[in-house]
Amino acid sequence: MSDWLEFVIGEAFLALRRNLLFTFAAITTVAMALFLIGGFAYTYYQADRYIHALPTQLEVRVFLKDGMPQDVVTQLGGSIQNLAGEASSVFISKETAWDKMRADHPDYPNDLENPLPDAYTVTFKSVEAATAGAATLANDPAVDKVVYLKELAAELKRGLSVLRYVGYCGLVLLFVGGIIIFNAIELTVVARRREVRIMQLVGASIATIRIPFVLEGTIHGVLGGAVAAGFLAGANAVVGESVRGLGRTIPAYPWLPVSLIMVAAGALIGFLCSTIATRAMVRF
Amino acid sequence: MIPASDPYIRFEDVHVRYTELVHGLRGVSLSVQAGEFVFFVGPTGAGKSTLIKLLTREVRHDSGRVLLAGRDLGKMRSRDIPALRRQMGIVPQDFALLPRKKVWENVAYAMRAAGHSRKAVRTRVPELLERVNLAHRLDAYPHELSGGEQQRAAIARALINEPPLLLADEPTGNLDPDHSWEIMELLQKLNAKGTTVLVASHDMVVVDRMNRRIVRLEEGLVASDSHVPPTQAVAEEPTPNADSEELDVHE
Repeated sequence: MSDWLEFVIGEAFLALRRNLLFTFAAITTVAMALFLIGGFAYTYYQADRYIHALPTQLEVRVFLKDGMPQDVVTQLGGSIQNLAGEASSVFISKETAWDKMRADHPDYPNDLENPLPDAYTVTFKSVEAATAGAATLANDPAVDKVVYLKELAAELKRGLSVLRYVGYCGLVLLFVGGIIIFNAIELTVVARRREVRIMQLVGASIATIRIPFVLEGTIHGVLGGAVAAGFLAGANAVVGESVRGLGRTIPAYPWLPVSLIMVAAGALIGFLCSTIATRAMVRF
Repeated sequence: MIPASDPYIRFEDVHVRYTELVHGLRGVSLSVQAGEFVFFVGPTGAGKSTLIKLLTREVRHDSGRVLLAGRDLGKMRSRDIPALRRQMGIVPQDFALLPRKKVWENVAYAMRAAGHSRKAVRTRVPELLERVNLAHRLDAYPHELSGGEQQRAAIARALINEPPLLLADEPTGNLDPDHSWEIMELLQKLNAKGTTVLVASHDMVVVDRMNRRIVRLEEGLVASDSHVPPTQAVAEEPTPNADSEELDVHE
């Protein structure tokens, strides 16, 4: 058994070395496809999670301008309580918000300055009251920004639909990657037709003949998946850094499960495409 | 010797049609006993190679029956073909040697592919090359060998599974008369040790000189067969060369 394994694995790696150009083409195409699809899937997943974690459509967040004196803050709190349809309101100081964020993200550097503002979270009794209240608060001189989450959710959902198109492009690329793996394996079979013929002549088993080719395609896919996982981790780091510069954060990147999923997806694509190609090319 | 009623190979009214217009065989019936040495001769397209390829299952017949050691090859499943081929040695006309591998590597590669262990390869490859008188060229590459030597390397490769049947398709097609005779002597030696040998050839000089059973094919039909019945062969043939009275079986 070990002799047989050594033979088929050796044949697969020999083919990889002899077919460098197609190996490179197959790996890079699969990597690009998986990077787009993986990036899309990961961003979509996080955005969707974020939307579901948002408060109800009856909630409005009011961010105050920086350095507002306490009496202005208290006065605004009174104005909020007097708004029509107001159900409840909670003041969240910038320190409280920062402590919570640091607790959620222990990986943040200690010297990072608190970028968060003081805020009120106001809950209304109806969507109409929330819409009117958000408009009134936006005109208050102490208020920097009002985030009415109904609109935010709607915008995020619009963003998700754009992301879907990116995902479709990834699917097309994945299909192209599959064709390239298919062609690479076909060419390998053609390039190694003498070996295949000899194996057939001497009664090599079907598995002995086909497995090296399937292994080769699977390796294309695995390497493509690994490269895509690397790109995705890099892209996430770049986005994280940019967002941090704007005083915001993105969730911690789960690199291990994401990488494993990418490699497994690559392996599956490589396996399927090479199996189809080998079945078509090596017949008895 | 297997009784005449139970031949080792039997073709029963075999038809092979490649396309509507191109027929490989048009109803061939013949039997081969175990241990026989048979030549299939005839012009190009007569069906010689088709007969060989029916036995290796590279070609399937459209009607009739092909039996090998009692087994109907037409009913054989594709997945059983490798096991069938391990029961025979196949020598192709073009040698089919790997140009980037040395002689011993060519044989070793075939052994590994056929499922032999590394240990078996180490011991058997020198033996096989010795058997075909090629031990002194084991480190040569195919392009460094003469045509006869290349064919002997191909024969060594065909023997890796110690097959009871050796099939050679035009083994002297690319060789000069001296090398052709050298290959025939080698095949004769293997036959003398009990291997059934079937050779497709159009090299009538060598075939006539071998003085063996000759099945002549023309346009997919058996035109003549110099078959010597087994009982007669036993009585008359103490040596491998004493046969070949041609009997016309084509009507």
